[in-house]
Amino acid sequence: MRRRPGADVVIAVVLPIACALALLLLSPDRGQPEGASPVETPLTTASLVCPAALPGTGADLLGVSTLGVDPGTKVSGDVQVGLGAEAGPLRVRTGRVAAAQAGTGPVVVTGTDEPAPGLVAGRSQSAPLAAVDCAPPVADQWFTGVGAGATHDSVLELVNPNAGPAIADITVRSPTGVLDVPALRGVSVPGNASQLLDLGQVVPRQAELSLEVHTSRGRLAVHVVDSYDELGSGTRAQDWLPAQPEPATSNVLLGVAKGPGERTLVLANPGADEVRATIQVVTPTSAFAPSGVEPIRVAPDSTETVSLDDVLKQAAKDGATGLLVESTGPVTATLRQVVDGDLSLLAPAPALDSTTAVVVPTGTKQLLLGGPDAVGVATVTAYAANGKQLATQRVELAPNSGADVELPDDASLVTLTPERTSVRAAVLLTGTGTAVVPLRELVLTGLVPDVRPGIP
Amino acid sequence: VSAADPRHAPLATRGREDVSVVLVSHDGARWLPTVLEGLAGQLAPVEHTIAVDTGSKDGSPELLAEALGHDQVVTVPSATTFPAALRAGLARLDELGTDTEWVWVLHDDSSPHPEALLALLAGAADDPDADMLGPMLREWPSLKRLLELGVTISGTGRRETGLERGEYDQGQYSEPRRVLAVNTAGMLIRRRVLDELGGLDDELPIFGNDLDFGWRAAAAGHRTIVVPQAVVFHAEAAHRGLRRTPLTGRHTHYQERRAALFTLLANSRSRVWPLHAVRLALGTVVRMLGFLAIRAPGQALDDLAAYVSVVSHPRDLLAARRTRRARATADTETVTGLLAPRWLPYRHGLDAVSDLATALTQSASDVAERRRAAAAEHDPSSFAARRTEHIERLEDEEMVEDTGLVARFLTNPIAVLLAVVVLAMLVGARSALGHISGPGLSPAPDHWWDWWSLHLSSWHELGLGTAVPAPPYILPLALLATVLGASPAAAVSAVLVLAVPFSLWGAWRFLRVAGRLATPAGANRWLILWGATTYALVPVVSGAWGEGRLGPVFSAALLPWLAHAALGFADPEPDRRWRAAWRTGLLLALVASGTPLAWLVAALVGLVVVVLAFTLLPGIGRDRTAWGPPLVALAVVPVLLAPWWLPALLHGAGAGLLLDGGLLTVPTPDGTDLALGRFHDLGAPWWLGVVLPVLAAMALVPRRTRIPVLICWVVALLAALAAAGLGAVTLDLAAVSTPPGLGFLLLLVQAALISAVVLGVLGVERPRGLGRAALGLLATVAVAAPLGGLGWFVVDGGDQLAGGRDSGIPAYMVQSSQLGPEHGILVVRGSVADGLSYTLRRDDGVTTGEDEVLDLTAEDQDFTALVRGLASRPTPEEVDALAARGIEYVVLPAPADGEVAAALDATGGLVQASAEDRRTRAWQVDRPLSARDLDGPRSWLRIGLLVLQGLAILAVLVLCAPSTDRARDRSER
Repeated sequence: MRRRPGADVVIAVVLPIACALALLLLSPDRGQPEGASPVETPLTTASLVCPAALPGTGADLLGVSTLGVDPGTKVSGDVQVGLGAEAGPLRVRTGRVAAAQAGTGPVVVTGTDEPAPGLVAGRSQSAPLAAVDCAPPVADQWFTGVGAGATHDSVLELVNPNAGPAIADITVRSPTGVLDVPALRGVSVPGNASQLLDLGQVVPRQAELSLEVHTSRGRLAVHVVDSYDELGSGTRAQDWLPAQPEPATSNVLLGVAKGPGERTLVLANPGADEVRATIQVVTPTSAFAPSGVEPIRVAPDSTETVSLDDVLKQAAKDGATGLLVESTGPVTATLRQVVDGDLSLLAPAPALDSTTAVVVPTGTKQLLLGGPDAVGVATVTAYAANGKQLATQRVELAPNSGADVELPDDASLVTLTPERTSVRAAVLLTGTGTAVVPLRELVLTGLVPDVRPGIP
Repeated sequence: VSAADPRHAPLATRGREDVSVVLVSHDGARWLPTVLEGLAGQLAPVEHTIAVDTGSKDGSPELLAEALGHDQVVTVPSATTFPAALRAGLARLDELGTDTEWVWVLHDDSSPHPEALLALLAGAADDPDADMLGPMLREWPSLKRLLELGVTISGTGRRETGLERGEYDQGQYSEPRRVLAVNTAGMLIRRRVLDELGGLDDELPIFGNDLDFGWRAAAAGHRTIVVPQAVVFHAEAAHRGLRRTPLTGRHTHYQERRAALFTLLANSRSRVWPLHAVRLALGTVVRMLGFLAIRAPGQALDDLAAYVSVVSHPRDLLAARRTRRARATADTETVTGLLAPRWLPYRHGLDAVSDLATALTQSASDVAERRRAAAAEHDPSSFAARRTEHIERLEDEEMVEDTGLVARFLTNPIAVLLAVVVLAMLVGARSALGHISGPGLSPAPDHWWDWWSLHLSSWHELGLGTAVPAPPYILPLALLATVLGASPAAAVSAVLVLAVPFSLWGAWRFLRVAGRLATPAGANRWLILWGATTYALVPVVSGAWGEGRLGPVFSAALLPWLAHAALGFADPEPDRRWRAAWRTGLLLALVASGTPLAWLVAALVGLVVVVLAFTLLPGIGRDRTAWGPPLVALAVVPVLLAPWWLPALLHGAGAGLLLDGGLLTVPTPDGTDLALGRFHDLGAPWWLGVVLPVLAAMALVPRRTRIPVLICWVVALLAALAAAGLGAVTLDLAAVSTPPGLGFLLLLVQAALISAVVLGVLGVERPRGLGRAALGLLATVAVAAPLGGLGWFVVDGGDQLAGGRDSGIPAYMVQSSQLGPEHGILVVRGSVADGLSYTLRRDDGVTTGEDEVLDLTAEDQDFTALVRGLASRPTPEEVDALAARGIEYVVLPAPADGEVAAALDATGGLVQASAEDRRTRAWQVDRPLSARDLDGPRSWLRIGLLVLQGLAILAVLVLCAPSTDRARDRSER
């Protein structure tokens, strides 16, 4: 006969099992509160910096306008124009371009509250034709194809729009690699001041260089004036070299002028690996690889120059609007063209997703569109300086195609609204020379970060 | 009586020997028959006997009248003082026309030996200059113990007899000698001297008048001797409180003390006697503290009242001094020579300390022994009694020859092994030396007062200012730091280095007693060594030690002591149970100060034990000394921790009541971790921890010790249940989310498993064959766990403890921040894309104890908004707000977010400041700084709670001290 187990035996079996079960229930939550993404809110203050006027003849025009946070509503208000204590108010209204009388020095345009979102400004000169978009200060910018020699020289202008001092670190890349230039390390710019750095004096060298400007302290707006002396002509052509916000593997350079001329593509590879780049010619209807152009090899941390005089001679005649440079690694690029004795510089245009605008001088001009990544539509509207809408046009876009929109001569403000696709755009100005102004994404909102107490 | 006896001297050479007796009685019917019999039996002739009865309510007057005749009995009211009663007796003698040379004074509780008077008279004959003679007083009813052989007084007012306590009369005193005074019980005095000195002083109604009289007599040039051959048995009824008169009241101590102080101050011949009064005041304070320390508050108050009573009547005192000075004729030196030596009070102090030490050592004899002794006493034929006898016999036989200490140590393998283990633990703890910090430990503050001010202040200028109280473990740390040469860093090191050996010691003590409670033979020392070592290593292998988590380490060191103290609830003596209650309460409060959950779990365990006890032992509810102590132990904790507990709840920091001491975040253990004894992924290899639960489960197999092992498992189950319940909770603090601190539960589970294994092994019968081999294997496996843990500890146990923590803040800013609370540093980490977090650094940064305060402080929404504004669109107004909040620098440690940095660069009022690392960005606030916004109100509630805590600590310390023999003597009386 089997004996029934005693109570102690039962408890001795039950207790450890109960213990184990209780422990199985224990799985504490060790998760920590994560930092959340920043919140976008309308910009309450915005600064744009226009470079000093070019030391040439011809009318110097500085136009300011604003889009407002919502393109549908009209806003108006005063913005401050000028550097530091010299700043004075200027009334701006949506759709109109206010002309600022601000002297030949660099100008800071500061908008607060309503005019701040979508603040846009441009400076241009008529003879020879040159134009630049006044951009907000950003921490990193690339300038490719600058020169520091007798025939091709570049001057760097650093403008500090704020009260505190700012410091820039400039890396110079040459065909043989990064140059050690102590004068360009830790360049300090006092508050509300500007500084000019003539590369021909700082780093004299007969080669195509590229600059990487990093603002390590404060905020700096950087502009480069490129001057080119076509050998033998004796005349010195000048224009602003647009900045590239960051190296990319696909760069669209829009703004190829019609007619023959000297065209030089400069590529810079800031990476540590060699990059192979291929070139396609962009026309309003297609993009094709021109014959006879080998893939370009760019050594790490160096620049490479390719002459495209022959390649683009026929293409420009056939309506080519730009170049597409695709590479195995991120590169920066500039196409320098000297057509009819005037210098114009093409830098990669950034992709645009939302409404943007550009202030341009009156005169012959066309808006070049390219590099859409999907099928979509872009609406282009041109306004006269007084706010009158001169023309509007809807452009169908598809990958591998672009557009070439003629703009009225009186147009001072051009808005572009892409839909369902992103697109790259530049205004090609012609007249007493050539100038190219790429369009950039306007800053409408600011990011308010998620802030919480940290672990002490 | 030999021929040389002075009593045989010729009569002619002897003085007058006519004697009258005055017997004073009050409610002395208990003793009177014997006293009267003794009086009647005197060998020497007595001329007259007068009895003075002071309003007795028992049959004393009748007894006296019966024995002596009505005329010889004087009846006076009960409020009559002893001096007055004596005077009444003398008056009656005068009335009767008796004019004897001598008067012999007797009390109703002093019974003279038949030869007493004879011997006194012989003494007088021997020493014709003697005016006052006293007998040897022996204890009544024991008749053997010596009470007094003349008395004197010490500088502190203590009545000195010069005898050992409980000294027996073995004829060691045979020569008459000169003394300051003799007791009035049995005092033989020349009548004229008595009259000349004005009798006894009425200021001293019942106690101490003999000393005063003796002193006065000596000052007046009279000689007092004590004659050892004369023996009087004295019950000291009034002194012992056996008899209450309207004069003694309930406070005999008060009367005695008052008399002593009065005597000292009135008779002191010194010119600076007011200084003496001051010294006595200090002495009174010391005596009061002493009485409080031995739990005699009544006597302490009596002491105080006596002093106040004497000094508050300066006129009486001055009058007394005047009369004494007028009569003083003898030189001061003669009198001083009769007083007690100066050093005597110190000697008594030393005696008191040694008494306490004895009591402490005796209290070490454990509960198991005392239970067995109690059982043996209860039933002498029981097994327990026979065993006790057997063990005693064995111990007697085992009295080995006294060899040298070194030889005994080296020939004892346990001692050697223990020493090696402790040494290894100390080597393993080497990284805890110096000014350290770790993942769970902020660096210690620089000054010893920092912890005190953290503990004592009700508002801290930390962060943005907070009223959250400092964690409770700061108080013991502050005490330790103050003791250890005012060095907080040394205190932290001491806790970390000594915690492991200290818990080894505690575990040893606990396991030894637990083993004896479980089985009569107890655990052998190898087993105890295994258990104690395994337990001592729990905080180490769990990873708490290596992270520098003071809370769990502190608790681990004290837990075995707590458990040992709690075993005292099972003591057979109620007094010891109460002592155990206070001791357990104190230790539980200390453990709970490191790991607050301990209190909750203790309450849970207590509840279960109470329910079980009431179920199994139905009568227990009637015995207050059975259920009272555990209740007291639990109730003590909230009182001792009140300055932390209440304000924490009031200021929204209640989560702190569930969090272990140390830096957040804690790697909280899950169920498996708890069983293996690991803080999640910290500590020694996890597989070492498997041994313990497996062995603990196997410990349930032996039948003999199954019940105690089951008790251990019940404790483990309760801990596991508590952990499961609490683990589901998430505490959302300002900066972190964390489960409650489960450190104590981990310790408790491990401790319960270890105890289960030790107790289980005790139940293993002597195995044979295969069983023997299996047990050998198990033992090997068991030994592997602590050995592996110890090895791991020695090799890389503390590699996470480091000398200093790099905060990424430039050194000059840190220096500036130490200038004052308004020189704060706002540190912003993170990026705009992933979110920013800010902390504030003030003074010397976050030090031990401050992190809990900051962790538990609620988020200041306004300040968060301010930082948000600064990080997105800084304005000069926001910079002004920073200055107002007492912030001097804003730092973005590397890698600084460029956008935020650029925005701050562009802001007026912020001046860029340099930093060594270029990726670190910093700004100085160029505005007048202010600490005004940092300041907060003083909380009287917390001050009150701190006072309460201080008093409670003192009270509990007094209450948990062992009862000394003196105290016990007193309680027996």
